[in-house]
Amino acid sequence: MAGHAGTLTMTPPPLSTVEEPVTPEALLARVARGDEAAFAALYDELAGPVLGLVVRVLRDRAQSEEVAQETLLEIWCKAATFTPDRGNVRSWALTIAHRRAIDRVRSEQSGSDRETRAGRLDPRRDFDEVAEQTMLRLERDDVRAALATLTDLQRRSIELAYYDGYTYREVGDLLDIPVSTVKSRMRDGLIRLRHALGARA
Amino acid sequence: MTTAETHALTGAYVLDAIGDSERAQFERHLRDCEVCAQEVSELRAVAALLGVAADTEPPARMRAAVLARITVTRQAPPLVHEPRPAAGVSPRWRTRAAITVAAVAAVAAGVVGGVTLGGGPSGDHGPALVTADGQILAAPDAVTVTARAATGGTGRAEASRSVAQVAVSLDGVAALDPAHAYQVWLIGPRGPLSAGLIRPDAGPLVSTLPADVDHIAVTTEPATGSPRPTTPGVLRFDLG
Repeated sequence: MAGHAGTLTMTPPPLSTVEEPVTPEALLARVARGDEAAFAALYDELAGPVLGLVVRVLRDRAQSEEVAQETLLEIWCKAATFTPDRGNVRSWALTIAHRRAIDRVRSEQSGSDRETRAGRLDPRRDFDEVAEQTMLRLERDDVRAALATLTDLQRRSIELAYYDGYTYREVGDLLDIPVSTVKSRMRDGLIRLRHALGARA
Repeated sequence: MTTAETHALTGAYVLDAIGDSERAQFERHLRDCEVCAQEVSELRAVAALLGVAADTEPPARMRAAVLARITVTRQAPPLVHEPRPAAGVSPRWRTRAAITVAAVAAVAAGVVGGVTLGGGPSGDHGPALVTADGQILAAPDAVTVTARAATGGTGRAEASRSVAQVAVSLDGVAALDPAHAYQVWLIGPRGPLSAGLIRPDAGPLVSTLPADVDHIAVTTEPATGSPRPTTPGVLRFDLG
């Protein structure tokens, strides 16, 4: 029945006549239609932040590349399921990347790789120490400045969870505070970050 | 866990700081709790910014590997609303569908419902608009547009510009064989955007409604959905 397309007034104009701005959102819409060239362009937008985040969580470069590849493939596969209520495309990609990296940390942990896990316990590690990669300097500075507005407990709860992969229960153990407090600090810390980051978030 | 404790999990959830079973439990809660769902959506954007700060230069081999893998990786179809296995469908349906689609084509403009969005109190408000997650949208500008399908049933689009949502349902429209499905399209100057697949007589398909969408069409497509319409369509709603 494909041959009937275009015979009705309801048929939309061909997409090629529509000039779309090349935002990640526009690229993703094309990726959803199976456009491999659009995916290559989207890859160039997302691969840096995705890999950077995964390396940040996993540390191991080879493992991180694997997880980053899986993340980018998932974006290819699920492009048609993206809806704007999931935020912008980059934030969606980073959410997928983070979830995958954390899953890898947890499975590694259950595989009794305690030594690697212990390495992540170094209490001296903070935001600066892992910021050795090429970075989007402005955004990094903004995020760092925003993190500095948090209370110590808010910041440590968020960093231990997001960058080190601890559950809120583990964070409670580590910091020796009740889990209900950890949950609250994560939540109110993120809300404060949101205010500090303003329009960016 | 008390309700208050559940609500407080939004932060831990977006940081991926909860265990698998608790995550699943909280995700069920999110389907019913609009307040938490909204907060998760906002905090998730903040959490993602924590990740942005760690941008790094990926090696060229990774790009080559990913671009090679997509050529052999099948893409998922658009989200399917309330998927259920088709049952008891006549294999002759496709022939019948082809005929009825042609019939619809012949009277395309004639089957369109006449209500214009934003038409004020004279609009047909119909029953309350119920979204898939149980939220009732009592938007003052909610309107209902109906259209008759030549397949013997009707389609209904309940929409609100102020909440930017539309719910499409098919009532009494012929079921399709398992290889085909009805797909809903939001159409505006940017071309057709898939709103997903819909089954007749299942619940409404609820979608966000971009401001520039001025009409909605329903077409028959392969069961996995199509990236863009491939048939003229069985229904059309004008949103004015």
